[in-house]
Amino acid sequence: MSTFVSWMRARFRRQSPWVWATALITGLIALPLLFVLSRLVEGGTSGLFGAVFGPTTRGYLWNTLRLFLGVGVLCFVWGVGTAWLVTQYEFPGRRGLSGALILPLVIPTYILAYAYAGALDVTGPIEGLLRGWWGAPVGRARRVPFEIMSLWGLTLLLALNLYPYVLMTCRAAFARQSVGVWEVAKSLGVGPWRTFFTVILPMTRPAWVGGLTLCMLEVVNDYGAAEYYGVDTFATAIFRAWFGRDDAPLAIRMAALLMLLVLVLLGLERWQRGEARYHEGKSVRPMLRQPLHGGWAWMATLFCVVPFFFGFVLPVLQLGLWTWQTGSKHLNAGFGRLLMNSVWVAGSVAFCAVGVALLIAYTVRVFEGPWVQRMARLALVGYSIPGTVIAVGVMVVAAQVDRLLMDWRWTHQTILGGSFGLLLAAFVVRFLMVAYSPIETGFQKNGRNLNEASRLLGHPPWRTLWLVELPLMKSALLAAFLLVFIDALKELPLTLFLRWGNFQTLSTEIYNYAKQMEVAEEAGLYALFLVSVGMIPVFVLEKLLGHQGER
Amino acid sequence: MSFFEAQGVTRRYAGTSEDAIHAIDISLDAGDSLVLVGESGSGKTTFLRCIAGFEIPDRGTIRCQDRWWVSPTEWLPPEKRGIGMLFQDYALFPHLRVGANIAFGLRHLTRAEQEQTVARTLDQVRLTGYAERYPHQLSGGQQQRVALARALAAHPRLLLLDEPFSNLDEMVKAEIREEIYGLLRTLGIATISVVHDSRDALRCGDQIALLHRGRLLQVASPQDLYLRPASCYAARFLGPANLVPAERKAGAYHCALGVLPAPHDPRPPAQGWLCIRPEHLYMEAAKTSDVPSIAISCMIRSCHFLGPYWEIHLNPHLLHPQTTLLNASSPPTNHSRRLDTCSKDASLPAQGVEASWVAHLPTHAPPTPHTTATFYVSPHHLCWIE
Repeated sequence: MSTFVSWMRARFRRQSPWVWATALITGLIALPLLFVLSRLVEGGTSGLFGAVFGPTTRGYLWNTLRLFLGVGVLCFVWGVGTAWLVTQYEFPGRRGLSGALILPLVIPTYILAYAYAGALDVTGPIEGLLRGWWGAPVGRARRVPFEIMSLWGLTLLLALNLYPYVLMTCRAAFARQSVGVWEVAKSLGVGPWRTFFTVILPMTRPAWVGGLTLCMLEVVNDYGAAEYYGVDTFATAIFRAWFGRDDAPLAIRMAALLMLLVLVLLGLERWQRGEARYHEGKSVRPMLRQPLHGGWAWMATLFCVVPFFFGFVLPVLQLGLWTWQTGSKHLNAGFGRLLMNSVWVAGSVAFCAVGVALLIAYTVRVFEGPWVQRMARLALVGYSIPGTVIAVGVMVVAAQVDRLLMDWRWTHQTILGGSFGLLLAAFVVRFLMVAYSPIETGFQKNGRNLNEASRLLGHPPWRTLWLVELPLMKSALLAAFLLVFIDALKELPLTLFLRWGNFQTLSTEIYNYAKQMEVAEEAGLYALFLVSVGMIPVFVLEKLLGHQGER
Repeated sequence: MSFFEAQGVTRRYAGTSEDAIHAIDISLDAGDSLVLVGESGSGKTTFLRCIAGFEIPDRGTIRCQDRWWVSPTEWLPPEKRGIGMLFQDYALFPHLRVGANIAFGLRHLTRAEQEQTVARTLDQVRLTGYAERYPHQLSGGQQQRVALARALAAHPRLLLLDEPFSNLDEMVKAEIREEIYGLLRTLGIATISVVHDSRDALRCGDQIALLHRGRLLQVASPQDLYLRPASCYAARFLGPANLVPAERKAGAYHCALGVLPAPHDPRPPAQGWLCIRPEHLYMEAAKTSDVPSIAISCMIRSCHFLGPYWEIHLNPHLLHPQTTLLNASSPPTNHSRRLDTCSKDASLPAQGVEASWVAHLPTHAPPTPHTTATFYVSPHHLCWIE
């Protein structure tokens, strides 16, 4: 027994400060999430059942599921379809489209929503065009045959915005597909359509299901678009409960339910992926793209142009129109102040996220072990959790801590609640993963041996990090910083929830113009700016990370 | 007390049901060189990483001189162990010049002393004047020499070599290997190398430790390991071996070849295997030997010219084809007792249709295939494997 105790003691002493620091940060990150989740089990199973299928939540759940279904089907068709076309076939415009097809992703969903609502409005440009062609309609008020500001409109919008997730995962999987499978199927006399549905799709299932899962996570994360279109989802319900009714317990319970939904999604995704990682087959010979001819070729082009046009070109044109109409009015000191606020928040978030990601990634690298791995996974889970849930969790935990501090008479006012630090913490929880992936890739590219060589030459882990690892992964660090920076710049629900007083950023100001004042056209300049900044990574990342993207 | 000692070192990775290495005991005297060999997955790299400090053993102790590296209560981090290491990919810091690479482990010295040491070690590895180059401007062999200089500059107590030559061309490899091991021998630095290739293993150390599935099978000098392997696996690992199941009793080996006299082996009766190396089969009897050679009548199957020798594939004629297999753990066979030249991958001879042997003959006139020839083996060359 005593030997066991001494062995345990030695084990613990071997744990370096790195591991302790990672454990601490993981604990801090997990705390708000676990707190929210703990509210679910509070009422026992009957309470849980009542919460899930209660009269109020049933509507949100139903709406969310309908969004899942609609967005899922559309994203699958557009994502898988375009990915298959651009990897397998040669048709007019393929090269350009292959890159352009991911562009819809750079438009924040809420901006897309405002742009579409504006474009299809009675006074909007499309209505004007149609009236110009066919004259004013008789009897009916509009030429545009459908109402975009509905559940169906939101479905279409989210799908246009999110299909690139499926496209990206599938493009990688299809490009890795060995030509052998295709040839075997062909030699067995199976036609291309059947091969695609019976061989290729099942083989790449982990890829497209992974992409669809990302879409679903974004669907539940969305707040701005759903609210603008008047669709009740969990995110809008949480906001309404928290700000409208001032009912924190209700907001927490909604957040807990939403988190449960996300965990179910993640669990399903994991389960379908299973042990088998067959989609990672290495292709020896890449497939040669088959040229398409005549009508088929133009149909392929059309199929790829449609989502790109409606997901990117049209909304950007609308934003451009607004900027042209109102932009000059806003190009003043106010814009500068907003920009400063935004850059200040996003910069601090990016800085902290990169620092924390570096700490965790390096700990995983140097002090490998199942526990460190598990901690890292837990710390990164925030990326899948909707911003509203994180915001609620962080607020509630901060309130508890503040109350404790006041009870102990250490302070007479709230310290954490409504502070910049809290906003920062919530953003780091949400975007840690964004910084983590490029940093992890950077470490992997450095290889393990350089680190070990340095440590055997007498340099402890922190000095090895400074002298060897960091100088060799500057571009990965820059990429991580840039990605978090831009994501934080565009983020809406977290900022809305956690900002204090009259603090405004670009994204909250766009929200104010569109939603509060109902003059979305006034926000054209800000929105166009955010979209332009969002496009930076698309062009820069490939260079920074140096991976051969399938183009 | 030996210079370096590892005892009972055991490591199991999370999520696996078998120890990656199990109870490994190794000891080294000052200036000794030890080679860890084994096929991939045998645990040699895990053991090396335990020594370096990148893996923490679950059980066991490691001591170097009077300092515990791993004990039930202590664990010394890699940076404090004073180990030098050569890697397969050289692991030179690509953003530093050669000189800065070599001075990397010399933080405690002044700038002038650092420069002096860099110049001296560069001389030692015959790269004088290369200090201002970047690693990518050097050839593979030069890079490995810089890596050696970097390790030597820090005055390591122990040098670890992790397959340091496997990335080099065959031509450069021999040269660099001679150079590096020659230098290390002159400097009297204790080394532990991991080597994948069995032929390289014979050249790289005074002692060879053979690992198989995480266990240490045998530690011996190259000659002993080759000529007196302790197991069929060891026999086959270092090269082709003709194996015969046999029974030892009363100063003779009873096997399918007949009763072979073994006057030099008075050990008690036992069952085991006889091992005959291909180069110990001759086409004429040794004349000067004190004991008569054993004659084995064989059918020649094929002959291949391999440069230094002819490789003859042959089937020895069995005298007792009805005898069953000796080894109790082997599956029963309806065939005769097997004599076989075995591949490395099975721990027992594969169950084939007929006995197939290999002989290496340094002759200019090989026997004609499909004829019967008599081969001789000296009783001294019969190796008994329990």
